[in-house]
Amino acid sequence: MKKIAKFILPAALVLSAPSTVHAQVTTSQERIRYYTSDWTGDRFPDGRPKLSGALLERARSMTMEDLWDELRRLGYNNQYEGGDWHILHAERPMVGRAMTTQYMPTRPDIAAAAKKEGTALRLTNLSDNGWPISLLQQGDVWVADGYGKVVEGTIIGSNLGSAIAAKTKAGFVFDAAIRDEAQNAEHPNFNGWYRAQDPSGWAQMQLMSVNAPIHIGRATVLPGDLVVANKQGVIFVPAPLAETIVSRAEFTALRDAYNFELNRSGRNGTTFEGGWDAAKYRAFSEWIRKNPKLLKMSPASFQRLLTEAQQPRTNP
Amino acid sequence: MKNQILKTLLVSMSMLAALPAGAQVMMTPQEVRFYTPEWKGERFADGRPKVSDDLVRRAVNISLEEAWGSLRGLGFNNQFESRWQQIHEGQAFAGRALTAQYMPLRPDMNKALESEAKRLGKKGAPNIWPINELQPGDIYVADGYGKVANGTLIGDILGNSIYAKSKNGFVFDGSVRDLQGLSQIKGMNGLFREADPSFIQEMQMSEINGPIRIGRATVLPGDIVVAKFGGVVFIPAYLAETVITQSEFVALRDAFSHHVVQTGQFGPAEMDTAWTPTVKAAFLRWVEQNPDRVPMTKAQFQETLRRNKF
Repeated sequence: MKKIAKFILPAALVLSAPSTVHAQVTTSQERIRYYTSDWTGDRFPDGRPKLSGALLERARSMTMEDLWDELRRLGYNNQYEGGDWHILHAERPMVGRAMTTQYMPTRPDIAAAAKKEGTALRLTNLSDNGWPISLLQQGDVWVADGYGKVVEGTIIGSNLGSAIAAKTKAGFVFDAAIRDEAQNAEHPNFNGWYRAQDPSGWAQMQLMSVNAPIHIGRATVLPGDLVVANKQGVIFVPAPLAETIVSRAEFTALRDAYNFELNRSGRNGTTFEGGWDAAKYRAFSEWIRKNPKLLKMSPASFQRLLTEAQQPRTNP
Repeated sequence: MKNQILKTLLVSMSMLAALPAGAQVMMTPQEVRFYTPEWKGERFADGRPKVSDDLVRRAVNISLEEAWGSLRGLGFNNQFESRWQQIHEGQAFAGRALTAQYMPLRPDMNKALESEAKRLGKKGAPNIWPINELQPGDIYVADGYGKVANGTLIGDILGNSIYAKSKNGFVFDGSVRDLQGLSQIKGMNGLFREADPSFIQEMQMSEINGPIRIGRATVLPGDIVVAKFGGVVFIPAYLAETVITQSEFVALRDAFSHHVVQTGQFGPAEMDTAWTPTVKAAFLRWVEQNPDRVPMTKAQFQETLRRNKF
């Protein structure tokens, strides 16, 4: 009996070692769960929340303001980053699930530790940009903090661009630069938000973490966040709140659409944007009933939001 | 019976696996070691390399250019950062880095951070936590992502706490408030981007003793921080002795050169090229005659001579 214990205990120690010793560049499942404990749905094997494809599609047409308003209402004031984005295809909004990566200026001692981890994990690509790309899944958006570096801060060229396109069918958000902008714009199923293009190759930058919390300008991003990017900017919606935020944003968009129609046809008097009393909500509900194609959420969800909208808003 | 033992063991193994692998906010000693395996000397309880007090004291006197040059020679090109405001301009300070990372606030992340603080029995606002971890001789190095308005990591109360704990100072890629009060804390110095009267808002402290970036430099806990007129350099702990002695050696050589050119013993041309055996011998004699000019130990001096092919 004791013999078995003697034999099994060391084995248990050996088994538990890799997850604690090596996973520092690659964020452990436990750490991802620690930050996303409110998420109750599916997860990827790496631990990231897996939002449904249907929800991603619903998010595509949302405006930044409608998402921003609802995030703010829930106390999330730091999820949007605007400013100076360059975009491969500005007229095509991009949606996806965030896979995060952090870069820092190179230090040989850190680089050696990272390589050791990659080797222990038997990764087939240990380069600073190939490593995260090899982990991308379809529907991911690769979000990288390259600390705004432009000259020698080009995270991808056209070859890595085509690899990201093939893996994600979505694209990337880089607080850094890219090279080969023209060729990258020709890849199918691909879009990207970045700070600048530069012909230089990247240098003196190293991979610090995959799927750890990062910040992109004034927004903080967690792995599995819903990423919505359009010509205005980029917004990161926490996965556990995504369904609520997207539904509420859709509701606001519908309300706006109805109000635009009232303004156009002169039926709004001088209210222009307000006047949402019980009668106006009833007429709005009737308008939706007559235009069911406008509704992407379930009628039950719509009714719930309709009731919610008529109650006084409480600030968190 | 065997099966039962196996089952018990397997269950306890899976329970172990379910526990958090380490602290999420405060890096474990093991995680700090992951990045600093080359350091063979003493460590703090938190895992940080503890470069000797003697070397830290001597680090204040090395020049930024010499430290930068030595680091570059060793392949470290990203250890310097400038563009600072300083509490006491031109007064050098040096110490061991304790690092903290700040990010824009997210309620979900903050909730997780707070539950960890509770689990570890940490009290007070999150920006107090790193200060409580400071040891004598430490420099509190924080990445506040350059935020100025509503980005003030400390005022004079926390400034006093930093000084009480560390008897040293700080380097913030961020801002401070109460600059006047901070300047009255005798013995403390600090680098920051700008002073601002606002208080810290919409920020969270996300990690202690992780690797951080300060402008164009990457910093690890336990690095030797040398701050002086012109900027700051972060020296990896395991290279501290090499970089500091090399800088001291270059300074000695320069002092010797100035001396012999002034006295006419040698001409500038002889000093400004690879030294001949005659010059080298004169240098060694001069060093022997001026022991008070040599900050390093005899052993370190011999090692430095070997390194410089004397």
